Amino acid sequence: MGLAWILVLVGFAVYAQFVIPTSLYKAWYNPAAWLNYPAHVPPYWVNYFNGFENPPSFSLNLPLSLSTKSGNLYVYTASASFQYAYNGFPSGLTIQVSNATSIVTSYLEIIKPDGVQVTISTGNSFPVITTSPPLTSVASNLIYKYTGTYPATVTSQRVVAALFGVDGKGMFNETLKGPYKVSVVIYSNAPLNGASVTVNVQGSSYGLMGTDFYGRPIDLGILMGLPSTLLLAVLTSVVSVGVGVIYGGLAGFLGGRKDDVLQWFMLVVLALPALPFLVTMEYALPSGLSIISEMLLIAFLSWPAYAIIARAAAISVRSLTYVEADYILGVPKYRSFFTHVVPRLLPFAVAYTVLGIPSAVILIETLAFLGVYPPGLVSWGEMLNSAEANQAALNGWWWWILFPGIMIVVVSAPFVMVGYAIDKIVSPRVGVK
Amino acid sequence: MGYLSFAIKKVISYILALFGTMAILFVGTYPIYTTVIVNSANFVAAETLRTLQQRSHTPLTPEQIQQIHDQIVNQIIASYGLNKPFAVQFFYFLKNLLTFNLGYGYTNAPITSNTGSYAVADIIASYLPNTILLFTTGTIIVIILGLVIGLLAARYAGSVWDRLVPVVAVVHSSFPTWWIGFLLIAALAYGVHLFPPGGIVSVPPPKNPVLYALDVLYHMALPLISIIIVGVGGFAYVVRSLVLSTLSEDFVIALRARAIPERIVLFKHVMRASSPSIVTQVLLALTTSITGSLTTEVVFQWPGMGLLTWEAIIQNDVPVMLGVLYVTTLVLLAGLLLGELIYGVLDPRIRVGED
Repeated sequence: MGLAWILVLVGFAVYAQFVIPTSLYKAWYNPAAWLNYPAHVPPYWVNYFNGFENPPSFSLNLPLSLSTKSGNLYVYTASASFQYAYNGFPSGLTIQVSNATSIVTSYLEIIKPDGVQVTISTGNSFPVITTSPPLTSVASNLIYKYTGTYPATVTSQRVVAALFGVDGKGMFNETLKGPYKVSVVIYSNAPLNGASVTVNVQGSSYGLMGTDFYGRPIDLGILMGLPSTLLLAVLTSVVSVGVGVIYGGLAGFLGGRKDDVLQWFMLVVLALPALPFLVTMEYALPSGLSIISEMLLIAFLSWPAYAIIARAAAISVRSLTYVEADYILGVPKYRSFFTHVVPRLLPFAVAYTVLGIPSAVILIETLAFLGVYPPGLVSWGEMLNSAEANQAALNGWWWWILFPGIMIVVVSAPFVMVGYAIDKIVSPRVGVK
Repeated sequence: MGYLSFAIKKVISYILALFGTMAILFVGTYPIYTTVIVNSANFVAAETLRTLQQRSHTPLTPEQIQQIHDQIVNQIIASYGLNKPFAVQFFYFLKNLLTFNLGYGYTNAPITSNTGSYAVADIIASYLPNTILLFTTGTIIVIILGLVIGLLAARYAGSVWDRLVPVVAVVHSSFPTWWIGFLLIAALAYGVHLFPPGGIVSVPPPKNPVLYALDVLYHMALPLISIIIVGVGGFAYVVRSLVLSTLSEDFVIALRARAIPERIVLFKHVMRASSPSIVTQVLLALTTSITGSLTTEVVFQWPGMGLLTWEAIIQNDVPVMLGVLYVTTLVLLAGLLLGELIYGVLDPRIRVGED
C-alpha cells in the first residue's frame, strides 16, 4: 500500500513537472497574474455543507462581432447571458480583452433579471476589476437608482452586491436569481481579429482547495510544490545516508585511534544546531541558494545520525570470523571493508534512506517557512509562510493553512510505512545495539 | 576505570569537539563575519569624522579625512584580529565567543534585550530563558506521557491499543510542530477564543506575581499542546520497542519463572534494564528541543531563541544571527555532554568497555 501511494505521488510529481507549463511556475510570485481568480475563497465542496452559499467561479467568453465600421473606427459588440441561481454572492467581477492595445473605449451593459439596466463605461485599460473606478462608480449609481442616495464608500463586496442583489432599501442581502444578460461594446481604431472578451464572475469558492490572499489556487500550488519537494527530500536522504553509512562503517570497522578521530568529527557535526546553522549558511552563501546547495547543506547536518547506527553495525561485523580470516590472510583492509562490511550495511542503508525522506521533507518545509528556499521554487512552506504573513488564522482562511501542511503528512506517511516494513525485514530485533 | 576518569575523558573529548565545531562555524561564517566587522568599523569611522568636522575650525583636507578614516578602521579591525593570519584569527574568534563578546546588533533594527541593550550577549540572555521554559516543560510532559503510554503498550503487546501506537507515532511525527500550532491557533484561538493566539503574557502584564505566572501558563497552553501532539507518539513508540526488546531477554524469563508479578517485572526490573537507552533518548530529545522546534516559537510569537532568529532574519541583523548560532551550538554541546555523563552513571558498562 505504501508503495502504491509513493507511485501515485511520483505520478503527480511527473505530471506537475512536465504538464504544468513553466510560465505558471514563473507567475506564482507575480500577484498580477492571479487577478482573474477569486481571492481567499474556500474550496467548492463547502457548498455541500452550507446549502450552496458559495458559488463557484465562472467566466463568459463573449465572441466579438463587427457591427459598424466608419473610417478608422471599428465598433464591435458581444453579448452573452447566464443564469444565476446561488444563495451567496460572487466575490468579484473582472473584464478582460485579449488584445487591448488598439481599443479607444468600451462599455459593458448588464441587464439584471428585475429589468434594471446597468451601463458601465470600462474605458481602455484592461483588465477591469471590481475595485477599479468604472465599476465602483457604477455601483454607486446603481445604489442611487434604487435608493436615491449615494453610498459613502464602495468596497468590492458592495459592487458585487449591487450588481447581483435584490434591493432592500440600499442594502443587498439576498441575491437576485434569474437570467442576466451581459453585452460589451468596444470602439477600436484597428481591426480586432481573433480578439475575445472574457467576463469573469469570481465565485466565492474555488476548486478543490480554495485560493489564497492573492487568488492563487492552493491545489495548483500544492501540485507545483510536489516535484521539487520530492526531489530535494530523496536526494538529501540518499546523500546523507550514503555518506553516513560509509563513514560510520569505516569508523566501526577500523576501530582504535582512527575510530576516535572519525568519531570526533561525527560529534562536531552533531553539535551544530540545524535551523540556525542552515539559515546563517544560506546567508553566507555567495551565490545564493540552489537545489543542490540546499541539499548538500541539509545532508551535511544529517549524516552523523546514520553514521552512529552504521558504526554500531560495523563493530559487530568486525568480530565475525570470516573478517578475521581475511585479516590473517593479509587481504587489504579496504577490500574486506567493501566485500564484507558494505554488503552487510546495505539493507540498513536502504531502510534508513526511505525513513530519512520524511524528516528531510519536514526540514525542507520548515526552512521554506522561515524563508530559506531556492528562489523561484514553489514550496508548501512558503505557502504557509505567506498564510502566516497575511493573517490567515485570524481571518479564518483555514483552507490556506490546512492543505499545504497536510501535504507534508501525505508525502511523509508512505515513506515511513515502507521504511518500517524494510526495517522489520532487515533487523528483526528492534532497538538492539 | 572509575567514574571520575570516565567523566574527565568525556569532558576532554567534548572540549575537542567544541574546537572542531567552532572551526566549522568560523570557516562557514567567515565571509559575513568579516563583512559585519568591516561595516561597523566604517560606520564608527564615519561617525567620528562627522564629529571631528563639526568641531574643527578649518575644514579637513581630503588626505586628512582619508588618514583618520583608515586609522580608525584599522584599529577596529586589529582589535578583532582580522589583520592577523587566518589561523590566528580563529583564536581571536574563539576567545570572543567563549567570553560571550558577541558584538552589537544593528542599532537600526528593533531587536533589543528587555533592558534595551543592543549587545548580542544581552539580547540572547533575555530570550534564552523563555525557550528553555517552554521546551523543557513541553519535553518533560512528552517524556512522562510517552513513558506511560509506551510501557502500557509493551505490557499489553498485541492489543488494539498497542497496534495504535505505531500508527499514531507515524502520523504525528510527520506533522511539523509549527503547523499543528498554526492550526490550533486558527481553531482554538481565533475560532472559539479559548486560548490567546500568541505571546508570553497579556498586554499589559498583570502586576501580581501569582497572576503573572498563571498568565504565562495560559499563554503556554497552545504551544505545549502542539509540542505534545507531535512528540508523544514517537517517544512512546521508542519506549515500547526498547521495553519489548528487554522483555525478550533471559532474565525476564527467569523472573517470570519465579512467578514474580508482571507489574513488578515490568516496572522494577525491565525499567531499570532499559533505563540507559531511554535516558539517552530523553536527553537527545531535550537538547534538540531547544534548537529543533524554533519555528514553533515564530508561529506562537513566543519570545525565545526561535523568534529571535526569525526577527534577525527579517531585520537582516547579521550579528544577532551569528550570536544565536554560536550560543545554540554551545547549549547543544553542553546538553550532549550531560547526556553522556548521566549515561555513564546509569550504565556502568559504558565506563569500562570500548564499545
